Amino acid sequence: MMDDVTYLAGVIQPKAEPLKPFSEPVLDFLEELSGEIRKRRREFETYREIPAFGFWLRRTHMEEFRMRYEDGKLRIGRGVIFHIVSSNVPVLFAYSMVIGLLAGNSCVVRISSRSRNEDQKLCEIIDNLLGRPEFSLVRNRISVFSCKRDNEIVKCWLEECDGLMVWGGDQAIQSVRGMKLRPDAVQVMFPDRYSICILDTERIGTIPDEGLQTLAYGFVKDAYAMDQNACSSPQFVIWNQEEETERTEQIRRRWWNAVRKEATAYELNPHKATKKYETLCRYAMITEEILRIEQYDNLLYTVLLSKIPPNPETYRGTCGLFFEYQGDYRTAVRQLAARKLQTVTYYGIRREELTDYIINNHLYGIHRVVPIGEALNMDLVWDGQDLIEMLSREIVWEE
Amino acid sequence: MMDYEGILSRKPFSAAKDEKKLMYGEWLTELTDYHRKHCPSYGQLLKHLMIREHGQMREEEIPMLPVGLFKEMDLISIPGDKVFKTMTSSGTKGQTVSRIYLDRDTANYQQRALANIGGDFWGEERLPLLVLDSPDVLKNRNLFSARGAGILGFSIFSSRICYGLDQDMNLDMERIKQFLDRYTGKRILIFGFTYIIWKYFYQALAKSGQKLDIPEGILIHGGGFKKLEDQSVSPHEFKERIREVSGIKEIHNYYGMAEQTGSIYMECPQGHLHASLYSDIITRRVKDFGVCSHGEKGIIQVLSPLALSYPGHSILTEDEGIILGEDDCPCGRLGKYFKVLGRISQAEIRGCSDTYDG
Repeated sequence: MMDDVTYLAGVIQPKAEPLKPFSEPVLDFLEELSGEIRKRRREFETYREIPAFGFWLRRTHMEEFRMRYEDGKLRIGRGVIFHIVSSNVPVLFAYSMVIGLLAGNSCVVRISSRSRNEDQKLCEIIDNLLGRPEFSLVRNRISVFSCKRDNEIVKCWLEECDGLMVWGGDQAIQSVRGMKLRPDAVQVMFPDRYSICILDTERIGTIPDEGLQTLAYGFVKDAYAMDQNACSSPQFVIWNQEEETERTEQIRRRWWNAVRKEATAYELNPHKATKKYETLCRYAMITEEILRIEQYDNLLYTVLLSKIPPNPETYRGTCGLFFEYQGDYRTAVRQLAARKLQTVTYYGIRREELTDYIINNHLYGIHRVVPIGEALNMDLVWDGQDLIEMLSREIVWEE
Repeated sequence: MMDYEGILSRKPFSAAKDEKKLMYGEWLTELTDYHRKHCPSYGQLLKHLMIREHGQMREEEIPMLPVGLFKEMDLISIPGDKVFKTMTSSGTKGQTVSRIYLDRDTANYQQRALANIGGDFWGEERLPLLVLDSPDVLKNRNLFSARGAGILGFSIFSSRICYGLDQDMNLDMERIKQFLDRYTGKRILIFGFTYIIWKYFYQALAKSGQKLDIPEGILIHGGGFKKLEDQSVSPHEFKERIREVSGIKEIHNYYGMAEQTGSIYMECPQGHLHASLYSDIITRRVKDFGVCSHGEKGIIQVLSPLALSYPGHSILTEDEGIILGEDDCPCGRLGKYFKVLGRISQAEIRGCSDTYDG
């Protein structure tokens, strides 16, 4: 049953000894990997995600991460972390693996047998680098392979690993939870989430054209880069305002026109266009709360709602279809903040006011509040979990 | 109300461009208003897409319903007790299928449209029909699959029917030969789905080394080349190979779908698919669903005035095609003629929640 496993980087059976988080050999390797990607960036012009990953890996950024954990506590990795990653988020496997390595672990990574070109390419680079003698220690701590989901090897690693990290969906998590795991293995799960964007209408109205375009660029990056299907891609846009006037309507239109302009770079193929139109029509048929629908060619569809519907997490746009609501953002957030609400991107409201509101009103949802344009930026704290803390053990001591 | 008797009394390839455009604008505007009133979810769609209620629309302005919605919702413009039959699309196993609700009138109009189109190609005379499928396809009479509907639809052309495959999809040579012997020298119709014909007729014959000799046979096949293309069999090769093993000279592919049964697009001897008076085709650009020029590849929209019991008179399909011309096909038929390039490629959409796929 273990045939049909393709090893893409590292070794077949990695060594498990835990290291301290942010240990030098790991940081040196990541720095070299970052440099290698930068050097070869011309090869990756069609794979935007690889250079972005390389940039994320830069030494200064990793050092910033390291400094966050200089708190005098004693931490050490857990052993082997097994990563199971969504197949259609390019390069996600590499982020997951790096976080595992940073926490002081060895990493076994299963990527889908349908894995993307980006992933194959990046594995090639990683594996080449691991072949150098100076990285033999790190090489022995990595195993990246692809196989079908029902391959025996998945079961074996589930049983053996000291920690399990699963990206991608309630269904995947449920099926893994049904399998045998070591009793003391930690589980870091990333279930289905959805995200929103809050814009203060007045403040958007005062931005000069150029600034607005920059902001729209960031919004398009958050939403369109992953066909709007990432957990962090905004589904709802909340306009913080008292009442709808001619002026607020003007501001709204100016914003969406700016977004449309930035979205022209988005590659809309026949499949995406028909699926998106079908999604729009379906919501138009079944949603009670629609005030009006606007179509900016096929690049951008907006659905303005009179109120936040029940079960807002089930409203999923795709490829640039947004639900809008106008009113006090706090009222909206209170109804949107189900457990599944992950990221809020914002402009023009006070961040403290929002985060205080979450805490003071005991809301279940909202795990991240970041400026527009940063929705997809990976952090060591994700979905409300500090991944370094979860993937390492802390030695407490008393004298 | 729509004058279906008038529409169906006309010859299927008799309307030239300007007249057809005008008629389709009128007919489909009327149907759009009709379904708005009789199918609540369709009415809500039009309201939210801000399609104005009164006033004449041109053919290309008629709102399009994405074909996928027939899988997700019950789209119906008649009371439940008027449903005469329910058609389902031919989904592969595990896929959800479209459900199309027909009343007696709609089923009747669609049937007659098919008869008229067929008549234009092989005459009004009823011919013996050899069905290259298993009779079992028709067993569940309440739920018509596209395969069953196709067989039943074409059986109206026939004086006598013979099924060429047994219940296990094996070629029944004995029965076929008996049938052919009876009609030696006479024209016969042969009908089946493209892939079924290839797999259970051609390949079975080729494998056994047997050949048939049906020079007077007229083969009509539909259902798409998708599966054959996966095996690198082109439409041209399909024809050649069928000819080799069966001697059939006249072969017509057709394009059609369960969502608009009856008003099929038949392939003429030039190899062009033809829109008849009972249906029309528009190709759409990805960027804004603007109308493509002739010769330009686009997403296929199909229109038909015959969809009365359900709002299927203007459908955005998941196929791509190219309109080659209008009214000037060398075969002499009026109307648009085109070719289908096949299903839109299911390009990968990104997203977080598919860890376990594949």
